[in-house]
This record gives sequence, C-alpha cells and structure tokens, in this order.
Amino acid sequence: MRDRALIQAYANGNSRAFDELYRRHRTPLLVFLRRQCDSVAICEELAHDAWIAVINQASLYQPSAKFKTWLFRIAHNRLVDHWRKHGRSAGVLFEELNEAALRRDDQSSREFELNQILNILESLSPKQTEAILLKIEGFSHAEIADITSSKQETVKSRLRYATRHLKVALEATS
Amino acid sequence: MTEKQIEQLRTILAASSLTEEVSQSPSDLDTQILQAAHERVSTQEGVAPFSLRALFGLPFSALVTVSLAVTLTAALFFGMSQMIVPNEPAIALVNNLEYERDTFLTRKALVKNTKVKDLVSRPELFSVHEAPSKMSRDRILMEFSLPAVSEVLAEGQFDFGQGRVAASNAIDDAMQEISAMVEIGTFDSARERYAKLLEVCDRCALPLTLEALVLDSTTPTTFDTG
Repeated sequence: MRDRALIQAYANGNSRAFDELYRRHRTPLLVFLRRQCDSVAICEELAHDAWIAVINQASLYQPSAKFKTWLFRIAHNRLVDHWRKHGRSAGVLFEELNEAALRRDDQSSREFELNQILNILESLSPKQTEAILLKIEGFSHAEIADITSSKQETVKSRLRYATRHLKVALEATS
Repeated sequence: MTEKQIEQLRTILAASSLTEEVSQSPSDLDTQILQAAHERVSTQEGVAPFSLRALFGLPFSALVTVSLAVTLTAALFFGMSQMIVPNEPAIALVNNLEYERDTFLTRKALVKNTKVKDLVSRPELFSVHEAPSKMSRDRILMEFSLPAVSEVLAEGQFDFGQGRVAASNAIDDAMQEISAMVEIGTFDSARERYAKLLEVCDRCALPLTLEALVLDSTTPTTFDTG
C-alpha cells in the first residue's frame, strides 16, 4: 500500500495505517535530523514534533506531494525553528568522526571510508550538507527544493559543490 | 555525482554507527508517537458535537445561566430586527431622471404638499369669470361704483376717431341708465341694458358681464405681496 493511501486511511480513522507509515519513515527521518542537530534528546524532540504535526494535520494532507516529502518538509521547518532559537551547531558529524578517529589504529577499510566521507561532509556548509543528505535519502532536486523552501537551481548548485568534494573523497578511498 | 556514487555513499552512511544507533534507539519516542496517533483517532470516533459536549458536565446553575444568556440574546436580536427599516432598493436612473419614491409615506406627503400649494396659489376671492350666486352679483353692483366712461373706452380699439366718439356716446348713455337702474335696485334690468351695450359696441372690448366691468375697474390687476 502506498504512503498516500496510508495517510488518507489514517485521516479517515484507520490507526493501523499510521503504524505502517511510522514504521517505514521513522529511521530515515531520525537519521536526517540526527546528522544536523546537537544531541539525541533534541533530535528526538524534533522528530516527535514533526510526527505530532503529521497526526494533527493528516486531514490537510494534499495528495499532490509525496508523503515522505511532506514529512521531511515538516521536519526541516522544525529544524530551522530550532536553529533560529538556539543557533546552528556544527552537527553530530563530529561525534561520528571522532569515534572513527579513535578506532583508526585497528579500523577496517569501511570505517576508513566512513571517516573520509564524514571529513568531507564536515567541510560543507549546513545547507549543502542538508541537500546531500536529502539526495542520499532519495529525493529529487524538485523535492529537495520543496522540502527546504529553496529554488531548484539553488539546490542544484549546492549539490554540485558538495558532490564535487565527495567525488574526490570517494575516488581517493576506492 | 553519478547514481552509482550516490548509492555508494548511501551504503556507507547506512552502515555507519549513527544509523545503527538511531535504528536501535529506545522505543520511548515510538510509544509516545504511536499512542498520540491512536488517541487522536479514538477521540475523533467518540467526539460529540461541540455544543452538546460543552453542556455535559456543567452544573445546574451554569446550565441556567447558559439558557438565560441564549434567551436574552435571541430576544435582543428579535428586538433589533423590529427596528430595522428596510433600505430603499437601488434603482438605476432612467434617462438621468429621479426615480419615483412611491411608498405609502411619501405618497401621503405629496398629497399634503399639493394641498398646501393649491391653497397658497389660490386666485383672488372673487372671480368675475366664475358664476357667483345672484345675491353675490347684486352685492357687487351695490357696493362697487360703475367705472367712468373714459375708463371703459380705454380698453377698446377704434379705427377712426368717429368710431371712438360714437362708442363714447353709446357707453355714456348706457352707463347713465345702468347707474339709475342700480340705484333703484333693478339689477336685472341693468344687466339687460349692459347686454344691449355689448351688442352695439362690439369694438369696445367690454367684459362679458356688468359685474365684471365693475370689478375690473375696482380690483387691481396685480397683487403687491410686499
């Protein structure tokens, strides 16, 4: 069953439809937020707010957009609100990076790859990082523009810059 | 970046410790969200109309207050509705002429205005062209003096001096006889004599009746309203 049908079923009172939607998108949304906010607690709070917004606005969902795009746009808006209140952090990428660095002596090749990738991601601006994370999540340029309330050309420009750096890193590790 | 590279990056990030950590994170968040979703559905199913829901659980005094407020509001609206005068509908002007305000009140006012105007513009008390009663006509002859011959002649139009002289003689004779008849109270005879004068002196432009002749020479032709 497609996401669109599930959210409409939930809006009509089928609570099991929501369970399935949550199961499908819980982890991708958490990872998306987790890579851009300071702590697990804040990340979970933002995710909680986003899902509550979905619950409250299920009847307002427009089938013209994919459910996942709608969900991530809500999450992006919550994230922006959080940044406005508390300032933008360097992101959780540091923690992952540090963990990888600590294990460098006995690291596997995959961990080394991860280390390189995260190094590159660290050097990107937050907006470029978000664009690349959304691209990895499978969104199209138009959908990323919709989620981040940006122009499609701006998204392409951010991705071009980010991927140029990542490409170099991936080629170096392979 | 090619799709292959994106897939490569996706695989790497999916296998990262962060992704594993998130996917295996405690289920408190899941429980809260799923519980909220289920509660919302159950609330929608069991929801009653707002007005009824609001009334349940209210104490008796509150119900009385609510009833009283509703009644007073309804009474207020009813009272206000009685005071409302319907607006005159907007009617497009035809040929730039004022449209007729044909309502009961305006019609009544128009009738009253017409009566006032008629009263103000009423002509003089005596109209020589109207037919007053015989008593009135006799009183006119008794109370007003006959005009002089020269005054009567002034109204006429004569081609030659001889015609004027002849008319003057005829009028003089007639006026003397008429005056005598009026003095003795034979008013009808005086009128008959005046009728003969009219036949004789057709160019004298005399009034049609003896009373008119008397009044014309007495009453000013214009009123000074000063």
